[in-house]
Amino acid sequence: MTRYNEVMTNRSQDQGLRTRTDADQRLLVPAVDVIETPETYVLRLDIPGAAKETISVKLEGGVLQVRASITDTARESETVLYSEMRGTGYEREFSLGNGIDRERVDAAYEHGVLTVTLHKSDALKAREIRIQ
Amino acid sequence: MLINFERSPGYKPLFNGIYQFEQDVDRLFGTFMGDAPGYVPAGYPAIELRTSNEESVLVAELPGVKKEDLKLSVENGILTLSGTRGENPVPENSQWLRNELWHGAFSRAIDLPHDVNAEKISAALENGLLRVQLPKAEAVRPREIKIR
Repeated sequence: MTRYNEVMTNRSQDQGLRTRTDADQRLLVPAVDVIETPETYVLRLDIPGAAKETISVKLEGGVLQVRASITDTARESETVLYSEMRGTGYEREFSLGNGIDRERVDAAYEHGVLTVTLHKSDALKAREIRIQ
Repeated sequence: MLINFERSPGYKPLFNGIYQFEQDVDRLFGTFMGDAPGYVPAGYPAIELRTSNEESVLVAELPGVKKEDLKLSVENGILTLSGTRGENPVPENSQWLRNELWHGAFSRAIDLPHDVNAEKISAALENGLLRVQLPKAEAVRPREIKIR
């Protein structure tokens, strides 16, 4: 965990947030798995209900930001009888250390799980990442 | 997870204080019960039940669950969903830095609010969200009564 904190700090958690109200959106902080391999850091985030086209993975100023919206909501004709789903979207941020190649970030989405792969290196630059 | 909020298209919290209070309570209990952030306990997927004149729709959060690992059945007005979320493969020479996603078996039984036409139930799993459409049985559909 010490190593994790050196390389990647979980900003959302640092700020003590689990959900955040942002204008019309109620953003949940998705659960994450982080695995370190010899060449990469692999992040897996549970974002069930997020449509692929709403997912944004952004790397800017050493902060990796993941955002997505939940598009499946009750229709006009429907009444919600019971609900445990309290968010309308997801957001989680990670502060990255210097050991990560900012030019090479891959993202893939399947079964409601977003996988972000960060490659180890030291280049520094901001860019937007396309979802595969 | 302790206090359930309904989500509907025009829904807004009455005032943010209530919402904040809910967050605080959740955080307190979540912390000392050892929960992963954000969720209902592992093995117990979050659900939402909606209804209209024609049908009810059950939505369940099942991230990482494949179609073939999910079972759905209806009996005596109770819908049961169960299955397994498989472990993600971990490459060799790698180590865990953070582990918050749940894996393993899950099961949940939902008491349906009305009789359903069991023959016409349909379900779809997309983006980690299960959607079960439960058409109302003919006898419970709203109908207009003519005044004689």
